[in-house]
Amino acid sequence: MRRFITQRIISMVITLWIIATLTFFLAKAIPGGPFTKEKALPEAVERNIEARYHLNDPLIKQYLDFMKNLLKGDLGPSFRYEALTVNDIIAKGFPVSALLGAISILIALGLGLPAGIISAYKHNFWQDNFVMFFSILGISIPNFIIATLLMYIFGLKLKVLPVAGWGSFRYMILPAITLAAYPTAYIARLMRSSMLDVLNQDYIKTARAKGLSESKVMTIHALKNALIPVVTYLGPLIAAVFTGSFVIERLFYIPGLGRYYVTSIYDRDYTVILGTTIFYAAFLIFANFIVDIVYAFLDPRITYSSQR
Amino acid sequence: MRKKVTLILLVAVMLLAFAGCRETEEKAPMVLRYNVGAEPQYFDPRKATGIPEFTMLLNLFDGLMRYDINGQLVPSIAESYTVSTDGLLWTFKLRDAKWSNGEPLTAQDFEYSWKSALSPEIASEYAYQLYYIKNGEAFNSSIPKDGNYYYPKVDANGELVTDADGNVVPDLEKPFDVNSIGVKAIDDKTLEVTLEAPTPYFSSLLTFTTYLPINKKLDQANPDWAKSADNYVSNGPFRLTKWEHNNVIEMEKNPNYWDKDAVKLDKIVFTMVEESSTELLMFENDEIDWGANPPLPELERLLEEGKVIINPYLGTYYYLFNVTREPFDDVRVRKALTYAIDRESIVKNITKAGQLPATAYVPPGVPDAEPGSDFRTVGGDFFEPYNPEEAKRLLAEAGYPDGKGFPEFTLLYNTSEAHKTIAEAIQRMWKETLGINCTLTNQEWKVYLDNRSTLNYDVARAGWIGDYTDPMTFIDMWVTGGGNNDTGWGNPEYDALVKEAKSSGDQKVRMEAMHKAEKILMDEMPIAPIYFYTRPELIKPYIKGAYTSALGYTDFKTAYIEEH
Repeated sequence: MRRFITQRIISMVITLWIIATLTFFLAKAIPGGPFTKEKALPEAVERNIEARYHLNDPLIKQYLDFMKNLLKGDLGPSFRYEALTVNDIIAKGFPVSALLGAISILIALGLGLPAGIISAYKHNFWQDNFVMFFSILGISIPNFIIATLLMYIFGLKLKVLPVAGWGSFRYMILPAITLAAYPTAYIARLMRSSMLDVLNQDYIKTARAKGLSESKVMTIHALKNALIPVVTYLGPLIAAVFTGSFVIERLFYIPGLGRYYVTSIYDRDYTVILGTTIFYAAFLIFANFIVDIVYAFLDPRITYSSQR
Repeated sequence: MRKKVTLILLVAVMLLAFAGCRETEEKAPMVLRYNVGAEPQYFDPRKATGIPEFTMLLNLFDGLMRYDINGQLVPSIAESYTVSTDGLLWTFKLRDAKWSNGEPLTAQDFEYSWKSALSPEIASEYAYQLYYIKNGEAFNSSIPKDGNYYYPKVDANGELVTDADGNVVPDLEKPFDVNSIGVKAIDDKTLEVTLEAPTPYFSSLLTFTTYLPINKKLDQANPDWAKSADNYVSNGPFRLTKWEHNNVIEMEKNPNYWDKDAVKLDKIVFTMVEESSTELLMFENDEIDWGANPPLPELERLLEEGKVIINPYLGTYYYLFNVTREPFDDVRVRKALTYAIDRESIVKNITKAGQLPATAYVPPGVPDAEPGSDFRTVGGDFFEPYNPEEAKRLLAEAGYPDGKGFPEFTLLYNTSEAHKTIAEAIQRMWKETLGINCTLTNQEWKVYLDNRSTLNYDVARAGWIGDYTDPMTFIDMWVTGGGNNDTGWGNPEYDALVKEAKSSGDQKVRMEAMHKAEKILMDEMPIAPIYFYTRPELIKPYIKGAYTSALGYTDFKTAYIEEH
């Protein structure tokens, strides 16, 4: 186990380094720069700006400087938001996105898991059809449509919740539901199919044949194994949802991190492009790493011992 | 026991009722909620460039001059000013005014702000707005080294000398003297400004954010003062009290403002909602009072319901011709394409926000030499809003009768639904009237700008919003090789006229030169004007007294909220 963890950490660092390097050169390769504006700048002004932000340094020097600072944990200043450093942007935006993400994941698990289990248990009964109908909707309706519908109904028509903004819990309800729609539906389907799969396994039949109660068969034998695909999905899901969604944060006007993934590219805000990409990549890699460890507890067939 | 509880409850209810009464007696604070639509880049007036920044800074600060509610330019921090007969020396007498922290505002603050805005180290994008000041450009172009400034080194041909990394090198024999910059505080209340050339519209330039003062003492003690609301000091109608990035900005009435009696709002709450459909929902749900970006597809309904007000906007929407490419090197082709555009149909059926068809380049709303006259009215129209016969004739004359043999070309625009709709309409008009084919290409904003400035296009969409209310802000961009002249076009006569207008202090001479220049531009047609911009905005009917400038910003100094 220890050797597995050490190996994974080394490969995680290498992966991150490759991602950072590729992103750096790709970002610099996009035409235009952070100060490209409709109104052209006089030569002297351009020169001063390049000198101030070290944009006139040779590319390789810019890359080495960036890597040096990255090792120190300093992601540099933002070009677009002069009052902020990239570290500020992540420190301010991530807690907001993560809180919203955590609520959505709780909704997704709280609704998706039971729905999937019931669906599998009542296979082809009306409960199954009911769950599958809504899960199809949840998967196929784009989140901006769900968002607009919720804003219109609960904000404008019923006037029970604010349309957009951030602050108290009231502001989190609509975006959290929107954000949870897809994962809830996906988890329900995933849980259903893996549960059906497990219920047909021989060891379940054995358990039943041994005369175990149905509830024991379901919880102890079936559920634990059926959870593995859901746990696999949870790794990337947590990484994606905790680091913020561009569409949802833009529509609901939420000061999270999600907007920066897209706006930084439009702004050619190199440091923010790099900072947010590296942050997301690190989060994703780490989440997958945790998932791998959780496997070992869920499925006795999976071990990370160094035998063999 | 039960009795006691009842009694306590009764007393509590009565107390609450009284408290309620007191609250209604006190006047509720007057709060305006405005959506500016984008997070401001920075709150340092020396470096601000965008319209959201302008709106915020002009409410936080007060310059030497300010536009009043009727759009009249009036002295503000300046009590009065005089101009020398040659138009070069401007002397401003400052009134007794204070910073929001109570410190007195002095002429030294202005001298310091302008000089530091010009300094190469600050690297302000809008430093060139201060190039009117004597040696302003020289200072901005100088190279700092060991605490001194030097002119850049030039070789025998006048070209800049660069080192191995491509950096411009300082000429150590030619130091730049910071005292030679044409802004000087004679005493606490007198500011003397020397200009490079006579500039009659200099007084209107003084409303520009780059000319606002900053607190010298504060900036020297804490260069990061403009990065948060904590240490922020300004001198205008409002002061910054809260800045939560991409969430909310709050300003409160500045009790130390010299003209505080004119300020009626207690507070302005700014949101930065970028999504226009969200802005509209918030507006209709009474979460904001004013939104700067109504969604275009809803415009017609919103205008009918009286929710949108159309404000003037000093700008022109036009197409660029790349005159370095065939067949656009032929003026007859350029004219044919221009005349074949049905402008009325575009403003009536597509843009729908009261835009005017453009039959010239400089939009209306710029004063001419005679007081009260408008440059556009004096200049008149240069062509018909739609002239298909003349267009056909010119195209035939250029050797492409009914479009036969006309090479296929591309029409470039930056990705946006609005530009796309207009481009499709014009593509159809060219096809139907002239029989020529073009393909549409859209590119992401900065890729498009890059291709435009490197002349990597055939015909491209463009727009220009004036920086100040003088025709020069539109005219001087088309000089040969100008940084904003993305057409490859140039005309020595045009350049001479611009030079003449720039060196004269006589409004008559200037305006005449600029009218002549505009005529050359429209005779040679490197650009096809399409329409003059307007600015539709979501505004609640109870908001009164705000000044919406045709330059794009909004001044809430005298704004108030009517009982509703």
